[in-house]
Amino acid sequence: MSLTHSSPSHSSSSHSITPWNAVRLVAKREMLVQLRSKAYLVSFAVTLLAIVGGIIVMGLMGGRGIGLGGDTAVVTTTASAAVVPELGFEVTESATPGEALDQVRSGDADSAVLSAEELRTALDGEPVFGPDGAEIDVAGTLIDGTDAQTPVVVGDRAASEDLVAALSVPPPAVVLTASEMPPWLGTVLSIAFGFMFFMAALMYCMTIAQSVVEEKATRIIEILLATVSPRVLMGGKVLGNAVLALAQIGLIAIGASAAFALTGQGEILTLLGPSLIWFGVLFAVGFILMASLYAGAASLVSRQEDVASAVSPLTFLIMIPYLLVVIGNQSPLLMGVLSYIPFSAPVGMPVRLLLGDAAWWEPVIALILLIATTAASIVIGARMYEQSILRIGSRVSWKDALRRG
Amino acid sequence: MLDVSRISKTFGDRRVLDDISFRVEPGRLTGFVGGNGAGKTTTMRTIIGVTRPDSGTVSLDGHPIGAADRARFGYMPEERGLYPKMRTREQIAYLGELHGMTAAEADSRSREILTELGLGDRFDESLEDLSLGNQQRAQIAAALVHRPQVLILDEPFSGLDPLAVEVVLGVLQRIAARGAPVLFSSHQLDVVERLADNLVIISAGRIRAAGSRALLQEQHSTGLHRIVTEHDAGWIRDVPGVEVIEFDRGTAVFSAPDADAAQQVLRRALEYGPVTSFAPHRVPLSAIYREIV
Repeated sequence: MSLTHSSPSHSSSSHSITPWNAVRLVAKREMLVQLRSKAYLVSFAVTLLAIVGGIIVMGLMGGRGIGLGGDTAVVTTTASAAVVPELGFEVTESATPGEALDQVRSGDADSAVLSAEELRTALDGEPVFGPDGAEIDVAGTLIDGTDAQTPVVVGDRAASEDLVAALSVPPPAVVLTASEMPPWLGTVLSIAFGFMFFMAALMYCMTIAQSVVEEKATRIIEILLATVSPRVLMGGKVLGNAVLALAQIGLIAIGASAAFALTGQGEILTLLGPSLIWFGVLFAVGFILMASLYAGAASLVSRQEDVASAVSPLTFLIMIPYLLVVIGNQSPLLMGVLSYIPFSAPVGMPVRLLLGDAAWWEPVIALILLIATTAASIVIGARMYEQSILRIGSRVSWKDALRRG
Repeated sequence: MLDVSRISKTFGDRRVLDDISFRVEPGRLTGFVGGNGAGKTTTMRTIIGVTRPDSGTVSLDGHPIGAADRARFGYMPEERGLYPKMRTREQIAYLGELHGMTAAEADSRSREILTELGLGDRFDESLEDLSLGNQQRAQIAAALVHRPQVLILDEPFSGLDPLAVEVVLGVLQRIAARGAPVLFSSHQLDVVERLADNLVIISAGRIRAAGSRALLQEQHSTGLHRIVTEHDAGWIRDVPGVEVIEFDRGTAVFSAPDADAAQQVLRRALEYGPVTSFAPHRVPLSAIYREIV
């Protein structure tokens, strides 16, 4: 045996990679794999279109039929024209009340608006019917009962409900507690924030879990760990998917804002602003909280088919507070508690902020709690990952994985 | 020089490595031989830093191995695996970058090594679309992409067709010739006998033999001769001091206490009739292995 020191003569083109560069490299690969996946791109495009499309459709419906079958065509006389609103109705004036009725009969107009007196003259003894099909005595019931100048909506087979509603005078309504927001907005936003959070978080956490197990199942993990540490590998996975998740949320937010602006609902954005910003901040931290735990839990198993069962305790842990937010968003007490629980804070706190139920410092406290929990979850997830990632074969127990090694 | 010194490792209550020490010399192919569960893979994982030993050290050129050294190791695990859905050249380049190469370096080097291994026209195919033999070649490319200065290969020849064995062997010999220590394990003793310059034999977590393969075979072959005659050579059993090890009618392998005794056997054989062959006998590795394990 030669005992002389001998170092290889050729020069090396490689040197140890710095941990941060390795994290970036791993993150880049994770992102590339996703961005090259057709299934991923299609599902994202569908989500984005559904949300933007939903906002536009709702905007159009809310704006009383710009499009969607066209405006209701109304015929009226010069005398009655003043009572018909212009928005949403296509108003034409006819020379006589009788002509107006002819247009309704022929289908040229959807409805006619005439005063009771005009209607009586135009009918000239012909019968009219109420919504229940019973004949109505125009001279007796309509004119004697009310006022000869009362506008009457006349349809051929049905009177336009939109027109009836437009001509009705609603009773005044008051509330005892002042609020800028309609009460249903809390429910809608709980669901919307919750949907975005869980769709993005669960999808990307699942991607992380599958990627962890892929490396374990294919044994490439041994090659990777020969050059980088488990923490670097896990950090890269979490970072890469966090960037994608945030980008997805960001694109959806931009798409939604554009859709609101396009449909003339821009004022909603001003109201949503602070909530959206807090949602983004809490989401970013909350994602890392969940992603670390998912990576740790996934490292317990060695086969793709075991991933779902390995992460199911986490899925429950996350789903329960979320469901409570959706169910309990009308209860200020429950929402108050949920907006501080790290798993539900990204959904609960922005909703409370929007409804004006939370003081400015409340999201700050929630964020601090969330960051502390996230730090703990990174420690737990990383330990599980380090302990289990090379134990290929049967499932590693949580106890073994969490044991100090 | 890669120096494995007094490594022990226990999994649960099973002692997998028991105070093992050996060296992997630069410029030589060192074969690592042992049965299933003998501790080959654990030893290699320990060298590469994937498994932490309970005690003992691994040093390179006299200093304990650190992360910077390991980046210059080329490792091929026993259980083969790369990313099944990633393009072949991209993942080889990715592994190069993880070992500290720049993106440009990793790109050109991945092309070079895959071409050298006969995968020049398979760059953009995903790994799962390659044949098993070609996946094996890609695996070897993964171990070599960063121009490693030490090679640790767990069963590199298993699953390779004879042509690929020659290609890989050529690459390994070139790397060894540049002065890199190369350690490869195999349970195919005939392969090791043909390829290895040095040998390390492990059994039940202990090193049973280590050193030059030729020397080891010589040591185990002292006094052995093989004779081929055209008559029944059964009479050799009756020669005093001579022990017949193998016998098949006219052919015998026998152990003689000294050269004179061997020559005496030859003279007597010639008295019986023609002798077609008489030579010192070198025991095959498999026989040594059976003896010491």
